[in-house]
Amino acid sequence: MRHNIVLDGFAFRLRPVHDDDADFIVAMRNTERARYLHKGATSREQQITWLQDYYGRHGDYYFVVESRIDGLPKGLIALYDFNASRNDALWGRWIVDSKSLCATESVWLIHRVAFEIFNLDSDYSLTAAGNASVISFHDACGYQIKITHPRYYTLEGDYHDAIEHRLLRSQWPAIDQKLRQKAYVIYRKLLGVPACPTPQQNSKHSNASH
Amino acid sequence: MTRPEIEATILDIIRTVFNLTKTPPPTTKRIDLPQWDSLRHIDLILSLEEAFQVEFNAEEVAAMDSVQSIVELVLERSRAP
Repeated sequence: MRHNIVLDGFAFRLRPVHDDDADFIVAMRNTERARYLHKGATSREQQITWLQDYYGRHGDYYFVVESRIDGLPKGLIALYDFNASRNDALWGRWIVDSKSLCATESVWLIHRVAFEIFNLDSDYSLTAAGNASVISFHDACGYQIKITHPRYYTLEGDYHDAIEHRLLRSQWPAIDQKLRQKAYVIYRKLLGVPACPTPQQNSKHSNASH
Repeated sequence: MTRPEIEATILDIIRTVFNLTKTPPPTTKRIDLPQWDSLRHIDLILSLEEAFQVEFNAEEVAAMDSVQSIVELVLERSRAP
């Protein structure tokens, strides 16, 4: 849906996707890194058509991961499939430029959207079982709930198991600290300054607007 | 440190950071190890910096996609004035 949520992190921010991002989205979703995502648009026109439909879809928040240093898009991530009775949502459509080093901070920020802006009780991701590196990333984050959903979805006609990693609000503080620290390490390197202690929550480096 | 010593240290760090049961071969690339994800990559960088007493910049961090690329980088740093 059309939204105005902007969440600044250290080196990166999440900002709403709009039509001008169509070329970037097509480029990102048609790389080898996107092989575990559902096939998307292959042209700018198709992507804009998809976005028009997305703008009307309530409870679907698609973000560009944008560099705060050069203002360029570095990745995509979304929070959607909100469930009111469970007070949770799914985050996904996650694909980033690996050279940008934005992966960790993008995940930190989407969790902050879930817990700080939407006050969810939990959020979760669903990863194709064959996507070993992403599963490893989620495992490394320390999510304590990991569930296998057999033959959960199809990709190009084949069934794939999905691995759910769920983060509960009660566990969020520890994950927040972990991801914040890692994001700050990358931030200092992108700025080209030596390491120093990680700023805590509500520092001037990190704020949300919506 | 000699090149073999640097390589051995890097391989030991990789084994430890990624919690591998055995030391990987020197030809290992990032794509060979699922455990070499973006988050653990940061842990790897911090461990390497501590072991070799260097600080890597963002470009170097992004370019570290194999054992040999890390060896070359550490060697380069060790030769720097």
